Amino acid sequence: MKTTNPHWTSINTDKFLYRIASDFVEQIRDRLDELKWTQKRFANELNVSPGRISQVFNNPGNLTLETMVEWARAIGMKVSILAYQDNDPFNEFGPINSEIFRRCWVNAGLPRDFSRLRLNAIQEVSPTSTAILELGAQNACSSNHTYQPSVRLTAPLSTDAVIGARQ
Amino acid sequence: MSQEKPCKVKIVTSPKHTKRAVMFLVEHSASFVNIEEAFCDLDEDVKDFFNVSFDYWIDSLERKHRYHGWDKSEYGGKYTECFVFKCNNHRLYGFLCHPKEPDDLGFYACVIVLQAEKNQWKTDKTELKRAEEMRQDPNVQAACKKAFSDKEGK
Repeated sequence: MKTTNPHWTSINTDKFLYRIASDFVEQIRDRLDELKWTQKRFANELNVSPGRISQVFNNPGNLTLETMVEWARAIGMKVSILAYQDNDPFNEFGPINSEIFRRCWVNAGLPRDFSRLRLNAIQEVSPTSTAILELGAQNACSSNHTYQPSVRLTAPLSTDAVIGARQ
Repeated sequence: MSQEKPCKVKIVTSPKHTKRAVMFLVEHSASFVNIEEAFCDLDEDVKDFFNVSFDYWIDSLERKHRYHGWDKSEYGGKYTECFVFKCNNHRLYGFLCHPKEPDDLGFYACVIVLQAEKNQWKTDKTELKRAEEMRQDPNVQAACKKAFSDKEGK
């Protein structure tokens, strides 16, 4: 049954695009604040006019993927595209803010691949959980992360989790 | 004695949001209450900008370039419950309230009262005064509570 209260991004695709482009622009703004860069400096880095930056900040609806990548790379960031299901098929709540996905990735320990994702997930499980797993130490380490093989849980996790830990 | 226009508010964000809502004061006898018509007359990209700001505000994101309130140090602390959404020189003035109290003291609403164009560096106190007047109007307060109790079938 369709909702009587659709989110404004349901009006058409352009509105939905506008909203997600706005999320991207806000992430750029936040990064510029962290770097203490003015819009003018950012414009210089991109070899565009400051007016262009201001124009896009105020109206991001026509941002292309190419421009998003250029802008992100200019300040040391990367861009990812994802599709997701959020149990809101009639779009009553609008898109999930991209900042939420970024923070989840940070909270997951910045996994760079699926092995690290599984390993980080296992390491995060509470010692009082009801899963048993013996973690293989050497292969799970990487130059960027310190591995702590002291986690022991109390019942088997999924096969994937066990394989991931023993690679 | 002239009959007062009924007072009505409209929820413009998702009524199912559990923490916050943005509302428009759509009917009131005060002639300066113009938000519904003024919002419709805005350019599409300006409306989109405001809609994004409403989304961010109900998600409790801090975005001072899009919206803000006033603290006790400003205007003698008279307008601490007033609020403004901004886009270029467009300003949407309103006030903050708890329309679901006493049942849900944590639920927060921003009721937007009027749209104005800002041509000076400092906020025009007239708009703040008007927003505050609506905040204190018992008919407006009742309309805000009714908007949610109607939605919840109470």
